[in-house]
Amino acid sequence: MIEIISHLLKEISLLNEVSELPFYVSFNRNFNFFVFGNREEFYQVKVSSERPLREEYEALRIAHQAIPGNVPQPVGLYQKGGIEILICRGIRHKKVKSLQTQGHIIQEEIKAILKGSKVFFREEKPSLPHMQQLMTACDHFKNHPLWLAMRDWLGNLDPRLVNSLPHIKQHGDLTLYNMGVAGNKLIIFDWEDFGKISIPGFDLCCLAVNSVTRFSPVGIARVLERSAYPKEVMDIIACYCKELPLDQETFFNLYPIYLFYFLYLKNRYGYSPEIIKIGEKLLAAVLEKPVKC
Amino acid sequence: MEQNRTNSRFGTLPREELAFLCEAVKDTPWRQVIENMDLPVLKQKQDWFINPRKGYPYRILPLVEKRLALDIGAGSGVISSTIAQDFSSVVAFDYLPELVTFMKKRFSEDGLKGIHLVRGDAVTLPFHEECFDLVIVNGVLEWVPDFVPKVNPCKAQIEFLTNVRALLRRKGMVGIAIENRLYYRHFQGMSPHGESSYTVILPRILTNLIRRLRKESQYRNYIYSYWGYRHLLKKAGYRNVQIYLVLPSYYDPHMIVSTQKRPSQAFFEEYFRDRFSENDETRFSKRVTYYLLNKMNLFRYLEHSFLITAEK
Repeated sequence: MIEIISHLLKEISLLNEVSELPFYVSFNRNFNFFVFGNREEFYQVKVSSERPLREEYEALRIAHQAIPGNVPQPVGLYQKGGIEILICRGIRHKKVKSLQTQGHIIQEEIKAILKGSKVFFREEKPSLPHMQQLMTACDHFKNHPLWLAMRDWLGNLDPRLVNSLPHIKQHGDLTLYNMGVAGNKLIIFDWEDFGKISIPGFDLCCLAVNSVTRFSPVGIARVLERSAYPKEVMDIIACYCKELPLDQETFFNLYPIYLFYFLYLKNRYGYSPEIIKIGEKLLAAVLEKPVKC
Repeated sequence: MEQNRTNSRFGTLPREELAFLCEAVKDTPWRQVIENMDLPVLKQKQDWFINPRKGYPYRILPLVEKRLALDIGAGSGVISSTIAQDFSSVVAFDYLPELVTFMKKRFSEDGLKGIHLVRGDAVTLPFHEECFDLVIVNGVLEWVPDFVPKVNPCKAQIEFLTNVRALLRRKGMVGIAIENRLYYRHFQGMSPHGESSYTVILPRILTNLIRRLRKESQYRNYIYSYWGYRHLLKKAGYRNVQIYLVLPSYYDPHMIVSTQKRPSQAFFEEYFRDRFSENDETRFSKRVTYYLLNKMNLFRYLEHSFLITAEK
C-alpha cells in the first residue's frame, strides 16, 4: 500500500522524490493515511480494499461545493493496484471535545451549516416518501429483537407527519468525533454516509445525543432527560427547528426514527460492534418511553 | 531444552487452557468457543484471537510481490487470516501443537484455503531459501533466545534474523513487531513480559548480576531501543531498515507513525494538543516538557512498540 500511495502522490505532483513516505496511518473501517507533501501541506489519503469510496468522494465534492469552508477539499479518486484511493487536502485542526468548551464559534457554525443544508442538500425529487423509506430500512432488521417494537411504534405514528417533512440529505455521522476547529471555522469530516438518510433532524439528533450521552453506557440514560441537554445544544435545536420549520416537541418525538436510522447505518455499513450495541441501547431507551418534557 | 521451551511464556495461553480450547473446537465453531469459553486467561486474551487489526500493519508494507508470506509464531492465526486476503498463499508457523490444531480448525471453518500450517521451532525454520516475499515476526523475536538456552540472547536473535533473511526472496521483506526497550513507562517500573521492574532498561550485565544475587535465572528476553534494532538488523545483513511507531501498541495497533521528523512531530503535536485541551488542568510545566520533547522529536524513541521492516 505504501508504495502505491507514494507513486500516486508523485505522479500527481503532490510529493517530491522521497526515499521514505512521510506518513502516519490510522486503522479504522478504511486505512486513513496522513501524508506530508511538499512544503507545509499534508493530505488525507483514504485507502479501501473492501468498501467502495466512490460515494464518499461524490459526497465530498457536493459538500465542498456547497460549504467549502467547512469540508476538506477532495483532490481525486484513483484506482491503483486493485485498491481505491481517495485523496483530500489535510486541514490542521483541533478536535471538538464538547459543544460547550469552544466558545460560540461551534454553535454559530453548526447553526449556519444546518441552516445551509436545508438549501444545499435538499432533494427535489426524492425516490420514496419518508415513511416508505423507513419501512424499507425496517426490512433490513427482520431478525432483530428491536424490529417488532419499532414496527409497533411506527404503526402508531401518523404517516402524514413524517411524509410532510422535506427531504434533506444528511451527513449521516455528525458527531463530535467527526468535527474539528481550524481558526474560526468548524470542519466536518467523514462524509462516507452522506445522503444515505434524508429525514431532516437526523444529523441534529446524532449530534445532540452524542453531546449529551457521549455514547457511554452511563450516559445513554440521559437521552430521555431533556434537562440534561446543555443550553448550547437546546439553542442549536431551537434554531434548526425554527428554520425547518419543525415543532421542537415533534423533533423530540421523532427520536425513535432518528435513532432507528442511526442503528440502521451502523449495522448496515460495517461499523464496530461496540457502536452497534450503543445504537441498540439508545433505540431501546427511546422506544420504551418518549423523551420527557 | 524441551523443558525450557514449554516453560516459556511465548504461548500466551497456559498449556492447560490450550488443551481445553482444542477439545472444545472439535465440535463447536471456533469463534463461539473463544467468545463463550470460561477460562481465566482466555477471557482476558480474546482479542489475541479475534482482533484483525493485529494484521493491518503488514497489509500496508511496500512489497514488490505478494505471492507467499510466512507468519512465524502465528499463535491464534489472526494475522495469517488478515493478510491472507493480500497474498496468494500464507504459511502459518508455530511451535505449539495445540495452536496448530486450533488454527487448522479456524482456517478450515473460515474457508481460508490459501493458508498452510507448519509446526516447528524458530531455530530450525524448516523452509527452502528464497521463497517468501514477507516474513512476519510479530511478538516473537524476544522469545527466540528461549529456544537456544546456551547461546547469548543477542547472538541467538541475530542468527535467527540471518536465517529469516535467507528465506526471503530478492526484495522480500521482514516485518517485526516488538516492544521498545526505552518505552517511557519502563522508567516508571513497568516491565513488558512480567520481569522485575527496571530489568529491561538496566545494562544487561547489571540486570544479570542482580538476578544472580536473587537466585533468578538469567535474563534472556532481550528487547532493544530504536538504535538497538537498527544495529541488530544490520548485523543480520538486512538493508533499508525502516522503523515505525505502533500506537498504542502492537497488541492492538490503531496507528502506525513514521519516525521521520515531520510526520512524527505533527502526529504528536496533534495528539498532545487534544490531550491538553483548553480547559484541561494539566500543569504548565508538563505541557512545556511535552512541547520541548516533541520539538526535539524524542517521542519516536519513547513509545511502547515498533514495527520494523527491512529488505533482504
